[in-house]
Amino acid sequence: MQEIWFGLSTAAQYCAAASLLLLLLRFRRLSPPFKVLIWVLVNELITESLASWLFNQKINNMPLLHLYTLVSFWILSYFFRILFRKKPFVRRYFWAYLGLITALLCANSYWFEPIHGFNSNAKTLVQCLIIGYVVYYLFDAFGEIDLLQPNELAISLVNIAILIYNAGSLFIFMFAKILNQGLLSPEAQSGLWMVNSLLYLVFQLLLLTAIWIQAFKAKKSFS
Amino acid sequence: MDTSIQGEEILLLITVGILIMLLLVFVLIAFFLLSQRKLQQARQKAYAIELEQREQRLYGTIQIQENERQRIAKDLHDSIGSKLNVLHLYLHRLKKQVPSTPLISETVQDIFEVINTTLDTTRRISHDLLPPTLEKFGLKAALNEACTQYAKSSDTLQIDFASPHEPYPRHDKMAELNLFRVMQELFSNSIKHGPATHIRVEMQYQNTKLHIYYSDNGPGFDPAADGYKPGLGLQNIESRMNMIGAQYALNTAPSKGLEVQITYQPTL
Repeated sequence: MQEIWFGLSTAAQYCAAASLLLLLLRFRRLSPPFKVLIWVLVNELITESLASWLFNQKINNMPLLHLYTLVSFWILSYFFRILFRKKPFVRRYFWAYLGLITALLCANSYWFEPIHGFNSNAKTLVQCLIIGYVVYYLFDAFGEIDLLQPNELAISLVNIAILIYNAGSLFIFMFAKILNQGLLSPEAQSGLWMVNSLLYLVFQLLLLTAIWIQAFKAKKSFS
Repeated sequence: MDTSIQGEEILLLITVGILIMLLLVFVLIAFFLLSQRKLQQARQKAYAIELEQREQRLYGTIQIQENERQRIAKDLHDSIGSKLNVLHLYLHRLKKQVPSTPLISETVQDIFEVINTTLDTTRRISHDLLPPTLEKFGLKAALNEACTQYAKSSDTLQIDFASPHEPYPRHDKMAELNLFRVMQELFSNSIKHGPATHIRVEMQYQNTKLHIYYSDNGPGFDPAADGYKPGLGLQNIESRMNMIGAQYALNTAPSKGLEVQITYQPTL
């Protein structure tokens, strides 16, 4: 089962690398939200590579997860800020909101879930917020977007990808700390992380499709 | 034992949690996509209705325009034209009655010239509005005449008209008039936007279908270009073609000239 888990993770990494390459090659054609996706993918790939290296060096890589949670929250929040830029409350409160959640995440890492352990609370909070962004986007976009337009299809696909991964893996990360306490058999644990990798692969594949549409079919204009 | 039971409960909780979340996500996505499809269908229907209404309005406008043209042409010919002829006649009579002096002769001659120029202008406008050749001799003769007239209007323009098959059956007046107006629009576009230096018009009648080929060597344009919108002239052509049930294919590209193929199947 572990082989499948590693295989899925590797495939997802290749997908992420391909997406990043595509984004960089077609940078001029990208609309602003897709330019932000470059940072999402850079963050994913760097964290994954560093985590593997630390793991191989037998060094605890959990601090990376804390940093990754914070940085991915910033980038995805900024991504959605671009999508919701016409909303007055987003324009008015975005930076204060970002500061507040950042403070909460830092406080969590300092007092409740030290950086050498799993940050389930922080991950759960961030995933819930991101799910909230996507659900709001989908309800807000209802009746407003035309999925036959490549630009709108691409951005909807990105949202769907984010929603599937974050909603699907929410319970895994929520209980990750308990899982590490050895209450589950190694097979059950591997099975859950395999599900997470599968969801991550789906996320990356959908992202790659969206980027492909944006890079080759969509117009640069963004409204 | 306790640890194992607790572990199984957690596994069950996580599994159920994942499944519920994924189910909710898929329901949300399905709802989003289905609603989008329904919305799209409603928009397409509304657009089709709007398009049909716009087309009907355009047909109405074209019809009114043609009626008005006919009325003006008739008025010009019957009222102004005939009155100018009467004026011409009276002036002749006056010229015979009045003793001739150099000043009177010169003035009468000037009046004759003005009357003749006005008569010519009236006739030309009247013919432009409703070509009598079209009414009397049909589309082929009218097109031939139009080609000659347009060619005369410019020193640099050459127009070839080819119509190899004889005889041509007459079509209903409305169809002939609309086909003629389309050709006038094409000539006018080639001269105005080109300017083209060579135009070729070919008219054939094959298997009860009338084919008209039109080509020019003007600059052409890219109909697939971003932001391209057909002008009023092209919209007019399309509407007229739809009105009489003719098919129309336009082939053009930047610096490649323009080619138009019209196929008309008369209703029996």
